[in-house]
Amino acid sequence: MTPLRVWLWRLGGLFGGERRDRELQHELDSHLRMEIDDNLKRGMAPDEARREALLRFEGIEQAKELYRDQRGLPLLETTWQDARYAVRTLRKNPGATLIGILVMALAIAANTAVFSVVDAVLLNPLPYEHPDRLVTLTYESSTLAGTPVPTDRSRQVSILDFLDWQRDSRSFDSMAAYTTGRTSVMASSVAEYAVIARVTPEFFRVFRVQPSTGRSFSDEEARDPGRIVAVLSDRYARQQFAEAARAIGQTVRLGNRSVPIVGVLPAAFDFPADTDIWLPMPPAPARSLPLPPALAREQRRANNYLAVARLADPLGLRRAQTEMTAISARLEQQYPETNRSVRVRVSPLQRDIVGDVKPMLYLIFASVAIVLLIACATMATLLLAKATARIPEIAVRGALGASAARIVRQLLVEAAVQSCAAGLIGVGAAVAGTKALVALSPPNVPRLADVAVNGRVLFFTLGLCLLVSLLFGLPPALQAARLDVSERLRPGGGRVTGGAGGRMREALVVAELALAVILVATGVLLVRSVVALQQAPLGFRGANVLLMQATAVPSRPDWTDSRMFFQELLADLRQVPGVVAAGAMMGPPGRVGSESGYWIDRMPQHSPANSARPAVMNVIAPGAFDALGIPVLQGRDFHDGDRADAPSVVIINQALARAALAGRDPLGRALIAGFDSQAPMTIVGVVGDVRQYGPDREPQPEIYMPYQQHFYNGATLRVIVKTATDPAAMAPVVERKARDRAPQVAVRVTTMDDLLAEQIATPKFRAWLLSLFGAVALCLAIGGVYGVMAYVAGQRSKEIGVRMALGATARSVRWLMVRRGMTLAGIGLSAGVAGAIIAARLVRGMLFEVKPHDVATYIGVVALLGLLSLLATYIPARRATRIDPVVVLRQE
Amino acid sequence: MNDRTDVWQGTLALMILKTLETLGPLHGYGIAQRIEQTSGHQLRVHYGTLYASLLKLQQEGYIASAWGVSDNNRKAKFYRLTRAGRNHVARAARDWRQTTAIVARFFTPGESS
Repeated sequence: MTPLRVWLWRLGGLFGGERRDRELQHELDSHLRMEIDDNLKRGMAPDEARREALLRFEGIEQAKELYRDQRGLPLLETTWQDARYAVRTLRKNPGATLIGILVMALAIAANTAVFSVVDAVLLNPLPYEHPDRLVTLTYESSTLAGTPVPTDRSRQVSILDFLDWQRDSRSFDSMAAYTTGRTSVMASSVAEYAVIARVTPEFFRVFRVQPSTGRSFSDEEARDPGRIVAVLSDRYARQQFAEAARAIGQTVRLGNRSVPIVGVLPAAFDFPADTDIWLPMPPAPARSLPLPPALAREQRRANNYLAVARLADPLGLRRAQTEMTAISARLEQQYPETNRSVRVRVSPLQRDIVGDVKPMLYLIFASVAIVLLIACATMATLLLAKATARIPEIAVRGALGASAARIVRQLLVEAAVQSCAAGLIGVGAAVAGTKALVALSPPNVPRLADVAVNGRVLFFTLGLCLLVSLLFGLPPALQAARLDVSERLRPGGGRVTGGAGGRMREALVVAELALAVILVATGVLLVRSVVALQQAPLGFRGANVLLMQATAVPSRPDWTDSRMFFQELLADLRQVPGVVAAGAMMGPPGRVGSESGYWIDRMPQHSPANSARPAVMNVIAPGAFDALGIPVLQGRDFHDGDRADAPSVVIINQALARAALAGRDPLGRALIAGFDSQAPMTIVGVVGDVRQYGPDREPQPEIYMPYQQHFYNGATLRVIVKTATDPAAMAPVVERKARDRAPQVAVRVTTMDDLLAEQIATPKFRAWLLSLFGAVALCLAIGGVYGVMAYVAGQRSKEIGVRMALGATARSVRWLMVRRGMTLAGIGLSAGVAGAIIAARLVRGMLFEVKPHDVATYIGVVALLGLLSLLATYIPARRATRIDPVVVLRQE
Repeated sequence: MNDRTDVWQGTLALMILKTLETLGPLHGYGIAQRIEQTSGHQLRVHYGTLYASLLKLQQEGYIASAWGVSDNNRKAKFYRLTRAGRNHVARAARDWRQTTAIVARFFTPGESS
């Protein structure tokens, strides 16, 4: 208590100094007078009485000084003095100061902006109650050998496994399964796509979320498909009904059913991401009744659901994992055919949500940090040079009694003043930078809406400023503290080159170049990856292709109307001038709809279901291959005759023929797929491979089935229109044709180019950012080299004069200086290449068709930086040797 | 004059407090006089330290100050003990006695074992 009281008093003592000084003066005056009075009483002469009293005081000024030290906070006051002194010093050299501050401001702005994204996306806890207890349940990745990409699909689990987990586990407070997808919905008069999550009744309990308006599903509504009700997101409710409260009691039309809206969730709740409508999950066929064994087997490995859970115990992750491992081992014994080596992984939900973007964000964070380091090094070299110029000033201060610590502190305060000024500008720039980052981010980065320059970010920036001022202020300060005062005060002293300051400068130059090489090389590797991605053979032609997703909700029990819709629409579209070809596909390249196991010729009786090799399953309407330019290599394309009543037919791709048939003729063989039925289909054609999972993935085996024979999956197709000119211009025409046929059909139009761009948006974004940072790093580093070399040349002008007076040629002197500069550059570049190879290994997962140790890249980067360093050393060297030696020598 | 001992660091505060406790409100000069007097003029108060010490005691809340008029009609700043100061003096006096008693035992001849 008392120390705090004292501190507050002393803090108060910082202000009103003049008034307090006057009061002290009065007090001391009265003291003096009393002492004089007493002295007079003792019989002294007035003069003597006064002299004696003053003498007794042993220095009034010292007394005041002691008093003042006790009154305020001396450290704070002298720091304030230092700061004011620093501002005066910096104002003497406004140009250099401003450039330095702007460089630092840029680096701080970049770091602040990136941190604000990292903070919101990675660090900020999820906005749910006790978010650390939320986990996902997935299969171990080894279970899913052959699963192509870590998409939502590879996180899916089977509903039968889920129900067993739910029944047998004890470590969870609650556990829910859900599915998510875009579905055709009619809220007003026109059908639209909305993102729909179907969730088991425990879902809202897992997230501890209650509707802000209305209620969630009751248990009966969740169980009885006849009483289905909907809960809306706040955003969707406002969009459709202007106001959340007005949505209650209204209906949304899903397919042929009107579903009453009973609740609206709080705006902050967004899980699964972008959901518009939450519906109770239709009860799985297995929920209550026992299944026939064949169907049960199929369901066991139909991994169509996602699972989330809330841990019962805040620290129960490990216990939950142990329990789930035990349960899956038991299921393996119970269902050896389907659950062999199927293991469950319990992982924090947050990690699951941000998992994909984490490496990218850390890469970007690391690269802005490198930019900051280089900026610091550049600043430090500049300050070192300046500190040398200030040697006389510092020496005088030392001679007048300033301790080394005092001088170091003063120089550090000077650095802090600069970095805080830079921080202020930087935060301003970061607000804009953050907006730009969010706007340019690839679409798969979650939680971007929360990104803002908030208190935490400002705190980070403040810490950064202080760290930065230490980083670039300490080298010159330490150098200054080591000064030998008497040595430096001699005329001409401090003009000797080399020494500790010189070595520090050289070390900084080496570090700058090394860091720049790391950043530039990584940037180049990423850019080359993007170029390779853009040139990857996709197997189809995406130019001038329009995609229109359409859901034709059937009204007849045999779904003939859905099929008629697509058949007639495609016929219409082929009549439109400018349309070259038209077809439709369930999962066009980049939008794989389903994957499943398959067998050729016969289905094995007793082998486990998951032993089948997986293939991409696709349902198409005739014309799709033409529209995408996929060649039919063997056999025939589908035609309108491949109808429900015709023999089942199928087309495979080359990858499947290669994988399953190894050169034997595929045509006429029977293919069985675990897709919608296990009836054998006859292979009638082989088509060329396409990269279904994006340009960075090799083509996978694929099975194409005619939409007329698979009408359940044939009701939602993407119409593919190849146009003669700009496809976007054709979009309204195509959309109107669809609406003309059926207004209750939801449609969404994109172009193939947009879809492809989306697939390489992430690599492009990170390559773009890294090139930007690399370019900045390059400029800073070369600027640093130039600054040091120019400074050294200036310092050595006397020596150069002497050398040239003694007969050295300008050429040899230049060579001397360039050699020194290039030795440093050589060390820096070699260290940089070593660092870059390590860095490239860390980002190996982001490289495409470029090796982390790509020789050409490193040679190119080293050549570029070497050349620029050469220029940066040669120009000052040349200028130095232009001086007339006589002029230089006369200066002495 | 120089054979007089300067007041030891730390004990000055205690002496000030004890002086104020005994004499009631007093100005800085009076305090210094009194301390030197009490010590039989063996101690010598450094005025600079005295005023810094008075300020420190105020900051700690043990004393308070107000302007008043001295015996010989001089305007002076008077210091008085606060309640916290009084408690502090009592506590410090007890500690002091205890400490000196312990130390004294070491210097009492014949009693060391």
